[in-house]
Amino acid sequence: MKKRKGLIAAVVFIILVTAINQFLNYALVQPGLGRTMFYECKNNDYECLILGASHGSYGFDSSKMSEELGMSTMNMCIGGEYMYDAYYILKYALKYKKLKTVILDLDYQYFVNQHDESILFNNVYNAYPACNEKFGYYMHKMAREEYRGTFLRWTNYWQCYKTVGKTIKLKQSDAYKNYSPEVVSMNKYDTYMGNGFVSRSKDYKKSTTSCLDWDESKLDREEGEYVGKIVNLCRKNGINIVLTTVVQDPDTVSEKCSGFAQADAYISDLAAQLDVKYLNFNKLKFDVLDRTTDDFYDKEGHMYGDMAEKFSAVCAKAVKEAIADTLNEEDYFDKDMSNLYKK
Amino acid sequence: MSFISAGFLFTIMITAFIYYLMPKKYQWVVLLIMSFAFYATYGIKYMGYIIFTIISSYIFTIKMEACVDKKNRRRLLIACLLCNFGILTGMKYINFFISNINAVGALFGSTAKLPGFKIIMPLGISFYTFQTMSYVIDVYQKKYEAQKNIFKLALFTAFLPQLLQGPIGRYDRLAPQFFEGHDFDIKNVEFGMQRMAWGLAKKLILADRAYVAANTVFSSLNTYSGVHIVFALLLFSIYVYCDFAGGMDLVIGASEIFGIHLDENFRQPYFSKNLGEFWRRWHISLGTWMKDYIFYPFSISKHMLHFGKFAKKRFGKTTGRVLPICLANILIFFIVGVWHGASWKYILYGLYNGIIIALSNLLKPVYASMAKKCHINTSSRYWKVVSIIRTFIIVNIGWLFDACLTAELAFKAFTGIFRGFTFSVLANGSLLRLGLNMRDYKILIVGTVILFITSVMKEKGINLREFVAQRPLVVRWALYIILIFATAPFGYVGSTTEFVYAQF
Repeated sequence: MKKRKGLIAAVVFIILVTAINQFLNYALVQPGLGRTMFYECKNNDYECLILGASHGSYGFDSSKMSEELGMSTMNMCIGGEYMYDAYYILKYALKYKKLKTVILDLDYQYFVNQHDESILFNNVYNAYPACNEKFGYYMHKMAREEYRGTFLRWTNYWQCYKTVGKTIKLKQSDAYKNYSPEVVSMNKYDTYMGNGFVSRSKDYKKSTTSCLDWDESKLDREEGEYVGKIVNLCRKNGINIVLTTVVQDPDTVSEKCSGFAQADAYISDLAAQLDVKYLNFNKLKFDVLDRTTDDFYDKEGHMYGDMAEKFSAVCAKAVKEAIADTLNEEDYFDKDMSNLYKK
Repeated sequence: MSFISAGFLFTIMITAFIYYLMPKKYQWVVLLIMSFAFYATYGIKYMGYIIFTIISSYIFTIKMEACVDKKNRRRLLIACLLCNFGILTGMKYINFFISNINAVGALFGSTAKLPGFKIIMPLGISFYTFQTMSYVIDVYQKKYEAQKNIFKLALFTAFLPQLLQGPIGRYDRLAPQFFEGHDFDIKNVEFGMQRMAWGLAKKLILADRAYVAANTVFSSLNTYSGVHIVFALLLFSIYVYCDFAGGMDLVIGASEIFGIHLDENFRQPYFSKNLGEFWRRWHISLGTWMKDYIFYPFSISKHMLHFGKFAKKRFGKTTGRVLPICLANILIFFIVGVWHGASWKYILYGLYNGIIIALSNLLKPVYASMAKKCHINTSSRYWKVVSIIRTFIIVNIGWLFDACLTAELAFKAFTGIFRGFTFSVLANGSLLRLGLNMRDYKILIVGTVILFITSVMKEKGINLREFVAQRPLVVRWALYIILIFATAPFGYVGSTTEFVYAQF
């Protein structure tokens, strides 16, 4: 009898803690753009999927890419998206779409900034809709990530306790239920253009945030492993895949040129091993795409919206040619980065 | 899989669920499977080492038991110890030896260098090797019989919660608990979860936060003044205690859920009145291991007995009696230093502790006569407080070896304390540039005060856990829920650090 009572108490306690936790998640976690993007990922029509992190989010103008590629494009680049996040996004997209092309954008910083067990980078996981694929994703996250990231998702939002009423009301609104980007509190200089592209206005004053240095001793092998998994998954599904790196602030590339060159060599080697094309647009000739530091809103190299439009046109053309195997790299790229960025 | 990962907590929950569904006879099998499955998450390739330790210990102890000849038994013991400590030494210290040989070679003008090995240490090797070897030595000493079931021995070696950072358990205390089976008891589950939540709070609210500022100072010593170094050292002492003791709370709490009570590894160490006492309250399981398997055998060895006789003749009765103990202490702490890591800073850390303890033993009569001359009542409360503060300072100086990357930097940090020691820097906002903001400091202060109060209560023999357990259900549950959720708003969010002792 005592044993049974104890068991019931334990179960009731667990249910109570879970219920309170779910309530706190609902009342505190603010709706992010990722939720809208996953909705679009499931419901919009597209044949080309772009995966990557924040550089891609601000760099790939989906409508321009669609226009130049000749196929509708969905940009699923999300800030903090590691390669294993990208892998599960691809799995999610494949559940609903028949893809022709995947563009996988690689930011070298993610290769040397080992994904620790902190809960700072949980944007993708938090936005990922509940589905069978999420189970594998959850197991992966849970095995390595600090428990607050998966159990107490409201950790990063506890300061929102003052607006609990507003958040609950918002989550009950039609706009939220319809996955409208209106419910997302975005930077006032950002505009969500649809299909995953975020355009930042030039009114935003340039920030000084810069890139991490390339440091091979800090290399996270898992990033490379997941690039391989993504490539294999694409091959298995008959999808063309191209690896890219978007253009960054030329001043930063010039300043950290040897690091950028080493990162390029590492990723190029990885691409060669996987037998896929890698287009590093930091090697893009200036006469193909003229760019200055003023086209980027931080030293790290995130683009303003108008630069993204210009870049996307060039990028789509190069990707299209790469897929058709007609790309003459010399038309676009300078092999010697130090020469390209010589002041 | 880290102890603060959701995976670990989930594994404990699932294991507990299956464990209590199983007939008592097979509960240990559940623990064994889960322990190895958990260890495998770090990489299957590392499992070879732990499996070797299990198999070799099993074979040698069985053979030892069957062997009548004393000399042969001893040979078997030595062979087993050599095999296992050999692996530990090889894995942990080979590159250290090589770098020292190269350094000595360079001193004599040699340009030739021995290449180092790329070694990734199997996790928990220091802990499980010491734990299993204690079993081997005990069987040799006929304290108990050898375990005939290799899988049972495997569980003793690889028990999930304690595998990575101890406490270093003893077979005679653990085996009955592992194999007798347990009925579901809500008190065990409640106490276990309570303890785990307390450990997580220590780690995430205090340790990780304190580490940020301490590490900022110690990784850039030239930038900071003496006051900053002292401040960082105080934060480091909070960090290292909360990290290790928090980890122990998790381990002991998780085991408690299964009805298994591990030995305590801490007893309010910062309330120690001398360094010797500190080491009897800090990492207790390592201290007792050293005492039982090195200190006593060494102290009563033939050579030490001869030395004791010689010292008594040469230096008089008192000094002659203390001198062998001093030597044994220096040896013990040298080994403790080496155990902590393959680096001169750890060796010096060990020697620092050993020499201070040896000197304080030797000079005990001098201290006593000085106290008498100065009319100090050494049993007064005032003197106890002075002794605690003095010991805390000595311990903190020792932490410099741990906090800095090299021994050289530790000395630099120590001399740096006396450079520009002006309290005015505390008011110029520089503390807010150490990676923590005002809210972080407030949380650190409040958290440390709570920890201090609970420690004082424990020191006074008040059993806080029983006190909480006797409250009405609503109060208890409210308290637990607050504790479980406290790490969300008050825990440090940033790059969390792995438990420091899990790296040994």
